[in-house]
Amino acid sequence: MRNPSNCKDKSKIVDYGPLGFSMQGEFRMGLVLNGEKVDYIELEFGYKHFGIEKIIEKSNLYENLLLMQRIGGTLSFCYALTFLRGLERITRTLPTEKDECLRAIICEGERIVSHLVNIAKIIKLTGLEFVFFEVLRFRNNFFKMYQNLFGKRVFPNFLIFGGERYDVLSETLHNFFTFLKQAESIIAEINTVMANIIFKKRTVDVGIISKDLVINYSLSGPNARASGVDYDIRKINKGSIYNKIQFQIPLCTAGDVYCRCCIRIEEIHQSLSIIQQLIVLFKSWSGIKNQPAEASLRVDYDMIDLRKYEIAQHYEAEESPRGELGFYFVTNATNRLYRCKINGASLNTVQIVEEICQNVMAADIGVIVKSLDLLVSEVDR
Amino acid sequence: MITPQQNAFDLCEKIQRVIGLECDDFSGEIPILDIFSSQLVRVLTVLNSNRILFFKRLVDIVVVDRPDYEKRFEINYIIASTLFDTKLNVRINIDAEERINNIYYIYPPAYYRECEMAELFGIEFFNNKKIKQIVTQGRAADFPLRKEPQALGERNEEP
Repeated sequence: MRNPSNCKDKSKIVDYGPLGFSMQGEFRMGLVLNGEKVDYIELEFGYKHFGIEKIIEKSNLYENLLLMQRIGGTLSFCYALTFLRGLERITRTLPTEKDECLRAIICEGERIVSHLVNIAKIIKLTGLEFVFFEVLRFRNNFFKMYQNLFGKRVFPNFLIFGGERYDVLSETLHNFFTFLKQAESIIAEINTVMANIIFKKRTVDVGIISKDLVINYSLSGPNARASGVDYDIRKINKGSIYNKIQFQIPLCTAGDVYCRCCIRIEEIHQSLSIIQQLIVLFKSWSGIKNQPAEASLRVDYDMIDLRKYEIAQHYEAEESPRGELGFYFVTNATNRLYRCKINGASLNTVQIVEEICQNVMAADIGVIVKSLDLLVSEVDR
Repeated sequence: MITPQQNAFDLCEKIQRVIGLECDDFSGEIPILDIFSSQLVRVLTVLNSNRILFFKRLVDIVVVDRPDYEKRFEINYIIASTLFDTKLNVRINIDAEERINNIYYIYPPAYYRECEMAELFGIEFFNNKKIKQIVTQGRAADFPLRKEPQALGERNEEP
């Protein structure tokens, strides 16, 4: 890495990372410069590798669920939920619609925070210090709301097979929604920043991903939708709670950094309307307490024994804020998972960096990589 | 209403018409197409470029190691059709010594996954030039994800 094979003049190599504000996680980029432009770029990973797929094979299901929350930072609930949903399909302990509703509300809340933090960091990288600290304060308050909901701050150990640990009152959820509504005032401020000439010059027509490139590299999430590819697992998954409510998938065609910011802002609006509709749905079931039939389904981890069920190979996917998040499970005649493969969207997104970062200004590299919203722990695992 | 299984049957009929191979396993939600490792590139090229099927999206490549079996590595290439929202699992079984073809020039996102396969499972490819170490960076002495006692760290050491 320190000696890229194609580069003869070593004075032209500039190392980016592994730590720094403009990096999205811990990885190193080696830029080979030609003047102010980047000739080509090489990536180096492995700083965050802790063998998570091996740990899954060694530990039991409850330990695995705790582990899944540690992958994604703010997306702790989303990861644990997708992992658990796959296991629920294998063991056929499906949750009720009320539980699905509650899970979807919290996932959408995480989506709002994740998108806001991403946009704020892009704005700060372009040299404008307007909304960054407000968004950090918002994220901190979001974790305080977690404390009201689950009793824990960042890692809510809240899910069990076929449901949740405790009931949540609809009033608490209403407070959650009124808190998330504050995002609209932040977005209003972001919109004024995005009309700024400096911001537009730094982001419009920078880091363009064409539609063919998106299809070839199997991108998903906001990065794909910014290039005009209509792909959202929430719409595709049949039988999920999202089929009962109405929402739109925002699309854009330009595929540059500015477009990705616009898509994320529009998704925040959509998420707020989704949460509003879901809370109305949730209230319609609020009279229903844990019925005896349902209570028998809600079992703790100690009760689940994979040996009782058939040997299965199952793929479970969910729309995380970064794109498609999938788990592939292989079971055998033991109580541990024989193999579990984590499939994050960032593993695809990372491979496009070398493609789109050729012949761009060296100063734009940080903005481009940040706008892709990578999660390096999905690559290293 | 179309059930997922009915959808899978329709898909398999189409595949049989195009490449002349039959899916036989419908136990899970994703139909499985069992092929030989020598057929891999031909099948994936047709599935990728065919206008009726349009399997443009590579979802994942999953390797499962079963040391008791004669062909110990089971490799699942999960691909998805962008037109019809259907998934397909193309599965091959290989020995430990057998070499397989690279597919990153058919599906570009397969590149990092193939590097990981070589690094963590010790699977060998015909074109090894581009394969590099991504995750362990030379720190692992063995192939960590193999199901061997050395990899698990449970070696019986005599005093």
